[in-house]
Amino acid sequence: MMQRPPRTEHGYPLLFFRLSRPLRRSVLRSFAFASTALLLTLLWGSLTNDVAPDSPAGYLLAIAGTVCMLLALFRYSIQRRTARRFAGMLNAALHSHVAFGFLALFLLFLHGAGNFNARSGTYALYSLLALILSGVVGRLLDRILPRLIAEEARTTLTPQGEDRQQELLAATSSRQAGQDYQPALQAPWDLASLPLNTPLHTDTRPLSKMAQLLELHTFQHAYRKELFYSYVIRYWRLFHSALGLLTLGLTIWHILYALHLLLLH
Amino acid sequence: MNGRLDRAEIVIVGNGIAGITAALEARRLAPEKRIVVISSQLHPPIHTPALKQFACARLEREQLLVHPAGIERQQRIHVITSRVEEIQAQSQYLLLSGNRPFHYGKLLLATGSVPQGLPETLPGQHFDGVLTLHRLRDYLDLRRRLPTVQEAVVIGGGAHAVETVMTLLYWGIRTHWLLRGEYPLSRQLDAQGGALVRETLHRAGAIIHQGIEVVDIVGRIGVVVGVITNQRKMIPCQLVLVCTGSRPAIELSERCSMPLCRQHGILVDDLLRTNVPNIFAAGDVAAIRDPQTNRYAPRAQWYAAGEQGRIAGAMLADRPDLTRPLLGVSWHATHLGELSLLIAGNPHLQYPGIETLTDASQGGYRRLALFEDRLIGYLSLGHIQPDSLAIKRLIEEGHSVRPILKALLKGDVDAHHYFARLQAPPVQALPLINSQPERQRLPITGKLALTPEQLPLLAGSSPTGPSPKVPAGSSAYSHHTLWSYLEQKERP
Amino acid sequence: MRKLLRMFAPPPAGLHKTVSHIAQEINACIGCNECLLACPALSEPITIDVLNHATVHGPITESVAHFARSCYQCGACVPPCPVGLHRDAMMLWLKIRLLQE
Repeated sequence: MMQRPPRTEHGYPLLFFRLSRPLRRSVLRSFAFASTALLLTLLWGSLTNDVAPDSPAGYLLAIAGTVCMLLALFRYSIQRRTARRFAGMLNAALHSHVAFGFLALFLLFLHGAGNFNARSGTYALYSLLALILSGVVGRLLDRILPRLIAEEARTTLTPQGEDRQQELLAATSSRQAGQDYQPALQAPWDLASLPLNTPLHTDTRPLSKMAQLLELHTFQHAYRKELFYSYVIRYWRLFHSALGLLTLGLTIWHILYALHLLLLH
Repeated sequence: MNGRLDRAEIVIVGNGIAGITAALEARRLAPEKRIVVISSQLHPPIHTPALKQFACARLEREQLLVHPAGIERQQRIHVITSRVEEIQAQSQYLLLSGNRPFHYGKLLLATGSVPQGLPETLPGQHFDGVLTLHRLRDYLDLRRRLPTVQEAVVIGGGAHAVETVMTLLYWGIRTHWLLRGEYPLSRQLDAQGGALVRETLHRAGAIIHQGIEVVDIVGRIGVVVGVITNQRKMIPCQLVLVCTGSRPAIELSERCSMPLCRQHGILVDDLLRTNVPNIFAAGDVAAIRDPQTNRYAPRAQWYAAGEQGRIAGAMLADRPDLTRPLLGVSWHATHLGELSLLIAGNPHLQYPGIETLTDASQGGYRRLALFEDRLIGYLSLGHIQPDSLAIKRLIEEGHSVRPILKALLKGDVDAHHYFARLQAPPVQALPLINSQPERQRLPITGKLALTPEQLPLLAGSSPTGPSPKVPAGSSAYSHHTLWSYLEQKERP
Repeated sequence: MRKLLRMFAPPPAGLHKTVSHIAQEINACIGCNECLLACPALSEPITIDVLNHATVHGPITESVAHFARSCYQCGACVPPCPVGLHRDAMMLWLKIRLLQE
């Protein structure tokens, strides 16, 4: 029986979305976690009126929020370094990282309960908020920048995927030498040179030469943009990690302050 | 269908990466020809270098396949599971098991390699628990046993042995590694590099025994219980893994009615032709020419086997015009524990005129062999694997490496970026209107000579017409120049 | 200290590669799957044979297309490769093919 050839996917929309099974699982798990936390909070809130940061409810929220924050900070990094992995594990860990991050922010906001007297706590909360925002911006950059990189790279390649700049350089030089245009051979291991129906550059008017030089300038510009976007992706991650460390430091400061208050009492 | 099949225009013996690649390439170039692959292997081609990941249970069997399942059927490539007993080259037919003749138009021998194993005279090598690791079934056997093993012995000093030691350590098994020499990979590494690998494995937990040979394997009721060394020491174990290397599987070539020339493998020219008409050889079994030294030897590496398969496929389809230039220099890259190893070219060549530079900083080791400004060989042991194919290309194309020498020594070279700079001069330096072109800045073309036969192209006498001459003092470089130079030095 | 710095250093960014280089890298791929194990964008398991086959000239299946679109180009797939290949450049080529088609 002849098998039908597989369908080729097309297109690269910016707002692509696919609710795959692992994503559904992650979303359901995060939703279950968040719902449980919310229910417990509402239950506690209905049983007591004292929700100050240093009340039992406040402490509970602080502990829960800090645990979520630590899970968000370290679980992904630990799983990234573990030897025993399976494909898709890091993606699920990343979803957990996001979910725990939002949960931590929610619980710690409730812990604060609108009380911003303690400086250390306020700074820690602001830092956590900045961290979450940097994560959201990072996810947006991860969605947009790779597509921009692909577009820049595409402008420098022929439809077959070879380097347009090399062809243009060879065409410019050999035409000026007065020789017939010969397509530039690529790396020594290429199977063949350009297809036979590649148009020969026979137009020697000065205007076309300038246009070719401008085109080469465009390629150089595209390379620079490509590298720039790649480094933005990388350094935003570094910035996000640095903010994470700052948040951890400020949280430890706040915990020490709280312990100090407890011991005094 | 297979029962009635008794002839084909293209017949390939062997279903490894070289064989299947040749079959697919021949199908692409000759859609009308009948292509048959004959092999005694029971499974489709797999990524054999990934078997160590399979042994660690990081991969399952389905993930080992080289091509999506069913590609042979999709490409109308017939696969016959049978053993080839002999080759009748004059009449152009094979004799399969059961005395069944099979006629061929063109024949490719891609029979691969067989393990060296232990010496025949070594007692106890047939006890249960003594495994020679080479094929998938060996690794299937290993994987079944690993959860029950507490202590194991690995015999061998090559990259395969290192990977096997790491696999056992991954499983938390107490591992004894028996080395005949002072350090591992003694053929590829020098003493300093070898010592670094040995220390890395020692830190990972391996118990390394140097200068040791196994003289006896002892067992109890048919199962291995330990090995005895030449120092009269008994090492207890439940598993003995033999990783002593492999050799080309030339047994079939010895049963050819017209003798096939052999030298550590079946001798082939640059287009993989043997001395017998219409018979080619590719993969681990073929002894090919090293363009740097002009010596013939098998290149038992995954990438080399695949590339040879592509060349062989073009030749089988009568399209020698579509074969690539030579495979280039030898190249091997792998992970050895936490170290990344890269060997490209000949980093250990020592002749007057060849400069050797080494660097042992940053917890790694690099060794460069330079001829004038060109890289002849590169050895890197470090925590980061460089762009290995780009470094291979640096050697083959003979670019000057002086601008990136320090980076090469430190092991943090971005060779691909260097190529981008070499081949993309700044726009300001481009030829302007009415000015002479700066030929020296032309990118290196594919006409660089790697073989003496291609040398006339450099001199401008291209068979297709006049080609631009490469001016003196340019970055063009010929390996032939090196070989002639070295030959002159060797002559009394 | 060096190890600590290495932990935080981002993987170096490289330019795209041409299809000839991509094809060469695909041919050199030993199928160990380390790149896929290190990828935070991969949600559904894809086998390396399917990915390699789709990358240069083969048809792009739905799962490969989704993976290609999801790839962040973070470069996490490059350091684990034992052979020094650039899976990120291969994924970029897949993105370009999706854009072209």
